[in-house]
Amino acid sequence: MAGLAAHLVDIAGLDLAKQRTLLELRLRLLRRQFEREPGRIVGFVLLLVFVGPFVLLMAIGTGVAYRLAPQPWPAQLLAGVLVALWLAWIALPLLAFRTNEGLDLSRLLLYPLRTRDLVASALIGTLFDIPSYLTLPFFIAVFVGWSGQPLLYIVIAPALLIAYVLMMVSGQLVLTAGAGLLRSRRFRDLVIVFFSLLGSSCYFINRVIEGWIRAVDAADLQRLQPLLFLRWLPPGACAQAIASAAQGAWGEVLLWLAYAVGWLALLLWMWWKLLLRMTTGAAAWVPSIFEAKKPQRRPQSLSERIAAFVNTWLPAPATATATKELKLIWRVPQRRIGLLQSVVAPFVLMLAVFVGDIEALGRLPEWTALALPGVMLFSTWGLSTNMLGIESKGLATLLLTPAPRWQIFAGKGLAYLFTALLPTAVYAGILAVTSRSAFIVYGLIAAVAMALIVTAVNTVAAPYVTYPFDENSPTRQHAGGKWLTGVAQVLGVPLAIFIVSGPATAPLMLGVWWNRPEVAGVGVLIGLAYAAGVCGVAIRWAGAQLTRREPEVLEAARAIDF
Amino acid sequence: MKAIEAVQLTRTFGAKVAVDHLDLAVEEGEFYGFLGPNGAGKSTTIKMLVGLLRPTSGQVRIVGIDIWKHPLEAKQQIGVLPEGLALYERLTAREFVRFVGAMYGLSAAEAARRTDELMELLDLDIDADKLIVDYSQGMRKKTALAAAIIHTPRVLFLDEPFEGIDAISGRVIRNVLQRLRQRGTTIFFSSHILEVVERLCTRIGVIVQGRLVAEGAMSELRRLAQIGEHSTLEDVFLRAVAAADGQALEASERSLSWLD
Repeated sequence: MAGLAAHLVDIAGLDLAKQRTLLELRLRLLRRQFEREPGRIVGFVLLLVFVGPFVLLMAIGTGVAYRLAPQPWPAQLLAGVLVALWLAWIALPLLAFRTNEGLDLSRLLLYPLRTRDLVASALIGTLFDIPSYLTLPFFIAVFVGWSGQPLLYIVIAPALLIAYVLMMVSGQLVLTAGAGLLRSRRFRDLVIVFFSLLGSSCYFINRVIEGWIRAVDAADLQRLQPLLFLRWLPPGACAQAIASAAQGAWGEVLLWLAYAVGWLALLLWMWWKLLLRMTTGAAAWVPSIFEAKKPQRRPQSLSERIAAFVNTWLPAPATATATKELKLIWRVPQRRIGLLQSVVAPFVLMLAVFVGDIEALGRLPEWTALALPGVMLFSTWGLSTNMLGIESKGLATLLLTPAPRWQIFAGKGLAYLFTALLPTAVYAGILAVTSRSAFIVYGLIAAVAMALIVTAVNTVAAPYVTYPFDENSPTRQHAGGKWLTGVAQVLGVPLAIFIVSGPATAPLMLGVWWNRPEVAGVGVLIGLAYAAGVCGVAIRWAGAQLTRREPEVLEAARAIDF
Repeated sequence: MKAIEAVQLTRTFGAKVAVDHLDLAVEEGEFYGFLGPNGAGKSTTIKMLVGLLRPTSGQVRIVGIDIWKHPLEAKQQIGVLPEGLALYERLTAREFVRFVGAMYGLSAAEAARRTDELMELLDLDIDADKLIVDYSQGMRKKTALAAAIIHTPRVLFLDEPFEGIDAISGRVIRNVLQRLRQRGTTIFFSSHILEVVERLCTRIGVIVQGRLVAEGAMSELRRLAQIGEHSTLEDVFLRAVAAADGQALEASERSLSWLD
């Protein structure tokens, strides 16, 4: 086998020693991803355990459909599957670019490597990437599905081989073309926010798709014939070749295969040209919209104006911390997600409940008021979790200053309250106007109390429950905290919030239950005072604890190297 | 009263002794250079002196204040340029330095005024409103330095302040440090660039494997090392390191077999 591979490498005019070195490098980088972050192994195992069977089931399903579905559906489905896989080959490496150094060919440009060796090593390397493992079951399903017509294998085998190489080359082309873009910080920030919002909107997207599916009937599906337009895409042409072979149109088979090979040649040529351009010195380009704009110097930004106003009655460190937090909540992508979710999530919730029955907004039941503390609970929780870890590298600077630590916590709390309250207040306003219910106003007051309680609990936890946060990581928080931290975060904090928030939210619940607005009205004001007191005590206590534990907190956050 | 005092300062990481019963004293107004080979314990020592890393044992006093008993009072007196810079990367340089100024108790107006001056002096004014995440290493270093001195600290700790800095900015920084020293600021300075250390420092300490193996003014160090009065700090340093760690000197003499 090794001899055959060496012979093939020779025929292709490749350098065997360099191919071996590049392959070893690729495999080592792949292994190191798991060694450096053992949590990835867990993620990979979970992927295998949950996604693996799902992919296998889908592949089996397609195989059964190829075998048993009435004409012309097998070919239609095959075209859809091949095109979907092709799109996955393009999208998945883009998502993995930041974490898989092996995908970045530009790092090899320093070395005397011929373009053909670069191309070959990239293609060989893709054999070890996730898209290859995703593709294999679906390809096997094609063979199984058409096992009733074994003569077709003489078309299926080359068609699938062409499709596979098309997928590999397309993925590499997009990676190479987008290399500069992928390294652009602004693009990465956008991708992080986009995909996180996409995840948050899953429920809404599901509802929309359900609506579309209900609207489509069998007759419409019969007329659809996706193969008619998918066959003009490279992998679709391979599906059409197989469909033509099944119909006995052998002339068409050759034409469609030639068309697919033509696409392959074009994509390969484009990739080759890009690589040549990279190797001969032209820097990878970044579209100008993703280049950092020349900053506009404003005399005083909005946050600075607010800070100047607030400074008159708050200590300077608290105001400075609040201003800084507000800026970072917007500018750090993972933290911006928290802000956007607090804006988007209630909107999605309202749409999900009221879509199709918008008049229901005018006859809201009283219990709707209880949703407001719930919304504030999740908004504030997301913003204030790991409030020292999210300082990231800046934590060391913060703890080098002599600012009283309780003022730091106070500033953070103010920023979280403001950020969470603003969208909630807007939604409460809409609900209050449409429902004309006093309970909504009481719900908003209880929501403020809830925000104070959540902030208080997370503030108390902060000196003891801190873990690293990498603001440049695609995932929200960098895995690396101790298991006890995880237990405290997942169990301890929610339990504490549940217990401590009881007196603040109980008056509203009782008022709604008994339908006594006056009970709710007086009760939530008392609850607010209680929550403010709890928050004040928590901030002072946590400040003292932080002063005693600063080196331990820095170590837990990995804010400095040791 | 000493500006910086470390008494039997020790730090271990498991079985490894990174700093081994270090005794160190720096007078007020001194420009103290702290040298050592890689892994000698310089950064570990500085982190313990400024309150970022808890010593295994020993005491640290900054202008007479025990930093581990009264951390906030001690930190009011110091400015630090740490090894990792510790910047808020999603703030602009202007925002970051103003923020630090406010955290040291400067009024917003005073912090803004001093920040603008620092940005201009350190040649950051054109880029002062760009995010730090987009800065080069030299620009980040200058931003961190601006933040370290905005409040005119009594004691300034600098860990590799000239790394990644161009010659012009380096001259500006040296002038600023000299002015600070003239106003009475004590400067504790760690660097691998021995020529700069030799030129600026009034006293130098050499740490090897966690121990202070040599300390004094250049003339004293030459005498201790028993080498000529025109020998450089590099000669003194190598001699001091060799005396403490023979393998280090041997390592410095090694070459590559294919170059012979």
